[in-house]
Amino acid sequence: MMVGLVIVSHSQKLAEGVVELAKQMTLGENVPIIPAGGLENGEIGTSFDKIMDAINKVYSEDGVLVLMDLGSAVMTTQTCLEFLPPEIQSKVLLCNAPLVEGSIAAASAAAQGFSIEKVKEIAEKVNTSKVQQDFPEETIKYSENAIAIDVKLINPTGLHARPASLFVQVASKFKSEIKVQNITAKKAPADAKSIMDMAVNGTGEKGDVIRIIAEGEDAEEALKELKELVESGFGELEKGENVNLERNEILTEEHSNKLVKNDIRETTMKGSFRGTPIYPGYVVAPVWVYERRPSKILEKKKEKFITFEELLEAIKEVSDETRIIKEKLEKESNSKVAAIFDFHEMILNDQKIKDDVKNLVENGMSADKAFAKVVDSWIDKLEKQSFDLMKERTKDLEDIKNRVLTALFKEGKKIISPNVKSILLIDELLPSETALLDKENIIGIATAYGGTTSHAAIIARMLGIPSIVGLGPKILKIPNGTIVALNSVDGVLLVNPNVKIKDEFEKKDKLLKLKEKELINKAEEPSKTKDGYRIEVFANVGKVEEVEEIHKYGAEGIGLLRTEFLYVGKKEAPTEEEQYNNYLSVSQTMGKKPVVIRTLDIGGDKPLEYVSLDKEANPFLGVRAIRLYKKYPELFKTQVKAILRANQGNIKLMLPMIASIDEVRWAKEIINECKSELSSKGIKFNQKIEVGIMIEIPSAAIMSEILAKEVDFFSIGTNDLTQYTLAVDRGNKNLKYLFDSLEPSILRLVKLTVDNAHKYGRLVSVCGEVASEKEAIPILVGLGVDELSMNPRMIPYAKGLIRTLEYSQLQKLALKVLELENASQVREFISKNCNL
Amino acid sequence: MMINNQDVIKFLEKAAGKIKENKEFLTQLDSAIGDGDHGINMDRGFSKIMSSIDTLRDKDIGTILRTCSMALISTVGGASGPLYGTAFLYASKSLNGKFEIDMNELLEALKAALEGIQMRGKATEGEKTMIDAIAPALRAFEEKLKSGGTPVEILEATVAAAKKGVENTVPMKATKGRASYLGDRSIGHQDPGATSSYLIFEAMLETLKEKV
Repeated sequence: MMVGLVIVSHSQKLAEGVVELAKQMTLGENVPIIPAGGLENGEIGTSFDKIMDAINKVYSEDGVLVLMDLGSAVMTTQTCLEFLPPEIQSKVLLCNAPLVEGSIAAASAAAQGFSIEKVKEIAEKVNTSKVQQDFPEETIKYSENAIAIDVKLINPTGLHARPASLFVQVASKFKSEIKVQNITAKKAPADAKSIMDMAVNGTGEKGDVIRIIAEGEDAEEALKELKELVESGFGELEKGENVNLERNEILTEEHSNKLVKNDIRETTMKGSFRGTPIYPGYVVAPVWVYERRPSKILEKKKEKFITFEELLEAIKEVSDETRIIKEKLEKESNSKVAAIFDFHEMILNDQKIKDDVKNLVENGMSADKAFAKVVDSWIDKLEKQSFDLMKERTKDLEDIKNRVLTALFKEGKKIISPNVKSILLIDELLPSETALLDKENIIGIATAYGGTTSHAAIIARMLGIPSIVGLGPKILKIPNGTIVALNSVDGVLLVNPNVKIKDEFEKKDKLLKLKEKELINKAEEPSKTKDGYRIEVFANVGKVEEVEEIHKYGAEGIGLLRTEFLYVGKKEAPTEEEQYNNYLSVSQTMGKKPVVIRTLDIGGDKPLEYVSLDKEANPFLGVRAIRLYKKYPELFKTQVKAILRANQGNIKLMLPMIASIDEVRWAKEIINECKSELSSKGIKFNQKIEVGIMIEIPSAAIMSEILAKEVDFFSIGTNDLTQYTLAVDRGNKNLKYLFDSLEPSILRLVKLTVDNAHKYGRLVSVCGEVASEKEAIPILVGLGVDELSMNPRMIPYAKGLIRTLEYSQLQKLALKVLELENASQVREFISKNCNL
Repeated sequence: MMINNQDVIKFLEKAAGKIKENKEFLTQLDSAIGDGDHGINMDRGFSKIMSSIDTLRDKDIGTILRTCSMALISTVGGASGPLYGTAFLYASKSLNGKFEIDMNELLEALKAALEGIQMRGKATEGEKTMIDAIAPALRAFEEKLKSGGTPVEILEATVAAAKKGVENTVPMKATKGRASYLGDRSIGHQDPGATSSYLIFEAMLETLKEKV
């Protein structure tokens, strides 16, 4: 008996590939399997004729099982069946199994000579959980005696390093076999007693549901205790540590944004490096360059064969050392940092790693090389994980590898100490090294590589050592003992700074500590001045992905959604659908909160592949934004239609680079055209949409009275308004001293715009950099600006500032400011009068 | 007024023309929520019908529709092939050997077509499929027929209901077909299958109008 198989797919290649795969399972038996994929001409689709042909070819009295991918493949096959003569029809069965897995199972069953019904049954029962290919033995069989429980991860970091190690720790206490399966992420089950298996297969994010499966005499107790562990948030929630951590991150990243402005005055200093600030502070000290060399040691002793027992000894030594570090940290009440070393300990004691190494050693490999190889393979696996936090864990493995190898070759590890107060300069900090730091003498850290979420960064933050990571490899060339000024508020490292900087840094450091306290977690609350005047604070957003997180910073809406990200770096203009989907997702994410979408603002300075523009001597004075639409009306129309369709009632449309009323009228005509085109196609959309303009060209500010009659709102783009008013290219380094948005000329244009807008009941927002500047906010509020829109991370700061101000006083101050001579007078006046 | 085999040929020609005209549009609709081939597939099917239309001119209505069915089933290549193919096949069953039919017989054939689609696709109204255009269209047909409307009035009501049906698919969430993989993201898009059904009803109406 031999059942025939037909593989139906939309794709000819897929069908052929599946046949190829399935044939591997036939153990030399000649199972008739025929692909029926794609259309006659090879294009994607399903072909009635091909399926009919295939069925006829493999047909025998033993029957035919047809496996299909989806949709039309199923329907076309069903239709085929109806066209078959009844005696054949009854012997052709359609299989409900997924195509690839089902085909393989069916081929194997057919080869064993099972009946058509049995082959179908076997194929449909195939296990479809996609197990990590490296661990085929992990294909889980839930035995009848196993019990399981589902729990939701509620702790902020999910099931990763520390929680995962705690989980393994608890699970290891029990005799039962325990597995964890992330149901939400549809992962393969992981061995709850192996930290490595947990790190690769058992991870989970906050909100994921995990299934814990236990089998054995103490299974019930195990589930109970593990459930409690998960539900307690792995201890993260009670201590509130994590909340602090997050606030810390906001703080430092917010500081890093301020960099842009301060930097205008600082780049003239020589020898400066920029990186990602981790823990804020201002430190001036000599550098101490730290080097490690385990790889060189290996080189020297590579001849010697290391036995497995020797390796175990080294592992034990490192494990003991880890415990000592951990205890030391615990004594210093750094329990969170200490917990990271639990993870290390568990890796060191991971049975799976040891077994794999032993295997290699038994096959003739030296234990040190075997250990390195096994650990490297885990690093490799972790690097393939899509989750960044997971990738950072590779540093732990790297660290452990180095430490074990160092221990193996008896090159002991010392406390990292420079003897005098120094700033540590290092390529990249490994977790154990951070913990071995001599905190007395290391008063700052600067690394060449690494990111904000690395262990090293977390630990540095915890230990409170001012630090900057990712300064670039060039910093490693700074000679030992060179004096540097580390400004980890702005992420700047100055080499051989001016001697006066030391006093300045000390002062700044003191102020910084005070200011941090001010930044209270009141972002969500509305911002009102002391006398109850309400200012709305919105977010500027440049990418759809950013939208999710702006809520946590307290954004009351999106005051500026830039759309350039959809256009730049593409081969073709984005389609209406692509844009629609993006805008819709923003609109939906924001719920009732407003979203101002600015149509494409691009010109000759950032050429697009699908837009041909003449080379211009002054692109910023050339065919840009709305001027480009005139040349490419379809480009504009496509975007307008996408915006109209995506509008769920909260979207507003904003036109950039308006210089005259004619442009507004032209654009509005096009918008109306788009509306009628959509209507005539029977596409539903919200007819009502507010249309506003950017005020960023001086003429628009000057003519704002005329413009106010034609549009629904204004948004002042202070960056361009400053550039065009002062005739200063923002990017010109030689003219930075001229570029200041607080020039009274700019402020007078702001006042003019606000007054004219209010005359006609239009609201005005400010969406340039200046909207989040502490000296500017009091003036803008005083001038009557209704909304401020800024980098989301600055929102808590801006709101905090607004709450300390008094509107009645600001009104008077703002008028006085307009009478001042220049920007520096303005800044001085505001700092003095608003106690900034 | 009776509908003869020549009218059916004309209807097919009109339907093929409309599908061709709207090929891009249908494909665009399908790109949003499906695999982006509805316009291309439908056009391929109807072009195939057109390529052999001359051999059908002297055939009875049942044979014409059955031949169309086979053309659609074997050339369309997407889900609309077996669906429309089954529709034409089921419609042809009651019309075998007939060269002329009245509005009652047309309704019966259309009902059979809808039944065929439902049998094949297992969808019901409200799932964002062609059924959302066809089912209300046939209800309007029947109602107008009972209240004594002229054939043109009947088909006008049918087309209007189909159009409304198409519009109603916009806020629906797809639970059948490729669009169902998108879940909530299918909301806000017009269903391409419902749109092509509407076009086919329009072709029927225009054929009758010209005859009158």
